[in-house]
Amino acid sequence: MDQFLQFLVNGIMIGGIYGLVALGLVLVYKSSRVLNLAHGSFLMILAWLCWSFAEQLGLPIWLSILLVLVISVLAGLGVERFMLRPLIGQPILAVIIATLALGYLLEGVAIMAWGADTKGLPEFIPREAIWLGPVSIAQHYLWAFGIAILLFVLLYLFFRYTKMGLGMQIVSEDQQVARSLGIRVKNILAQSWAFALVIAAISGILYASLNSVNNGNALIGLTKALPVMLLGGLESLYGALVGGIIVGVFEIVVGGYMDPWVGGGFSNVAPLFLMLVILLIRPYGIFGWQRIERI
Amino acid sequence: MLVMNAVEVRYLDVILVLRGVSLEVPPGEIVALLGANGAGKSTALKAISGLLETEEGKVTDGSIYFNDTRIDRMSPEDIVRLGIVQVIEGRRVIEHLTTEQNLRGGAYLRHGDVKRELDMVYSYFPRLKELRHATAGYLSGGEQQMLVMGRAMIAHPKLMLLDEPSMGLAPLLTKEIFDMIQRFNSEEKTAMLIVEQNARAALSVAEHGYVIENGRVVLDAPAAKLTDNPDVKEFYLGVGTRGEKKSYREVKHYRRRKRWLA
Ligand SMILES: Nc1ncnc2c1ncn2[C@@H]1O[C@H](COP(=O)(O)OP(=O)(O)O)[C@@H](O)[C@H]1O
Ligand SMILES: [Mg+2]
Repeated sequence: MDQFLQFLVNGIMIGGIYGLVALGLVLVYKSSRVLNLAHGSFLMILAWLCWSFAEQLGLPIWLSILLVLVISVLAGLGVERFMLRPLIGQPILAVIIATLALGYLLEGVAIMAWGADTKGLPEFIPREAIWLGPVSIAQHYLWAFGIAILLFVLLYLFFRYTKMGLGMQIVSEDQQVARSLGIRVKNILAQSWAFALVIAAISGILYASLNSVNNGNALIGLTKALPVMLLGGLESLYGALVGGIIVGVFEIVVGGYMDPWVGGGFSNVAPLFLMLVILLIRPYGIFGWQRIERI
Repeated sequence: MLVMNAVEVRYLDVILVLRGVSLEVPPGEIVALLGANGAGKSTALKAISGLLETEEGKVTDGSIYFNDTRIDRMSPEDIVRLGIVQVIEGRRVIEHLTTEQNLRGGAYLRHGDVKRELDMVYSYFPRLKELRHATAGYLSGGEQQMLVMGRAMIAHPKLMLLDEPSMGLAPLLTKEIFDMIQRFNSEEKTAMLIVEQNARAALSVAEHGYVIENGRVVLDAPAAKLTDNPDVKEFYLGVGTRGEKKSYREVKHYRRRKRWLA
């Protein structure tokens, strides 16, 4: 029982981060209907940049993080200007393939710049475990989880109460209507990519601070965040959070009990297994848009 | 105020849909644009609002002026900023947002608090106030029509382009919608160009009407005259029809032939 509780807590903690990574995918999908296959590569390379600023240039960690956030905003605006805009009018598949190419490009850059190393980010959040009865939580996991939740809340408030948030929601459903109301769709797309990459930066840095900085981190875009997104629903913000926690718990609990039996490794495929099952029974996810049909 | 001069529109550079349409909407007036399905009515509205751009359509000849500004090369976003708002046909509410969020979307370009604007819309459509927290996708057809019109009204446009506001609505609702159109026009002095299949409803509120067919204006007269015109009566008001719809042009041939024979 204690072991189960421990797995559960670990799963929830890591699930928060998965949810945050998926949130970046959801934002882009919501606004532009594009599945951003480069999301994982972005979060990997932004974490590497943070490491370089802090360890190679010797900047304070908070300044390094701030710089990375600024860069992620610029990268988001750049993606709209140099990738989405030239592809206007092309099938959405062309754009998705372009994100795939961009992802490989970023991974190539990472290999050239940082090799195949594994590095650690300087510690910027405390790590000692906290004991809650029989269950221990590593503090940095708790912090990361808290930051993820905070971002979800902020984003919810943004969509609920700001004009830009309203504009994004209108663009996500009907671009022609959006334009008929005077909303500049290109700006909205650029803003949502900038948001998504800021989230990529934060989740990339948090994930790296829990584990390490290495090129393999890019994989969580496809192997964790994609199942989360499909589970939660392609357009749903809280779906990403709930989906993240479900995937995190499933991975740790099921993996935790199965790995000793199958010789390890099941936890890695658990999210993908879950994704397959979801696709079969509920293709629009738990909170995704079901088309509203009237007769 | 709005002047279309021999406007020609093509989709995808080849499909010629408007073949030299000229029409005018004077300030504060309601003008009806009538015609059968596929005549090019919606295309004419999209040419004015700039939304052609979103459907690979282009004004390839002629010009459109709003006051002294030439607008046929402008983007829809900029045209809205001049005070021209189109209500696209088919009640395009943002389905996953609430009634009030949809209305706020209509007020996207207004600065500051939109509370007063919302109340203005609710005064025209009290039903929308009751439904303000309802998800727009689940409203009835009539309520959605009110919503898309309210979403345009909230911007206080100088010119409103309405595409088939009565489509698929029961007669009572149609009347309600057209009463509101008239009231909004007289209170706010908003000029309107109304595309309709329901010619009777449109001509009852309009000062002037145009009939287009096959991308050309075939009739152009004050609304009262149009209502009395025998061909309009026959083909758009459903008086004395033989149950089968023919085009205005065909009638003419038919009449002419009849005269020869007589
Ligand atoms: N986006 C488009 N691309 C190509 N052809 C179009 C497009 N929109 C309309 N058309 C064609 O233009 C003609 C007029 O259409 P439309 O303006 O919608 O007519 P109406 O509103 O009078 O029913 C029709 O023949 C239609 O098939
Ligand atoms: Mg039409």
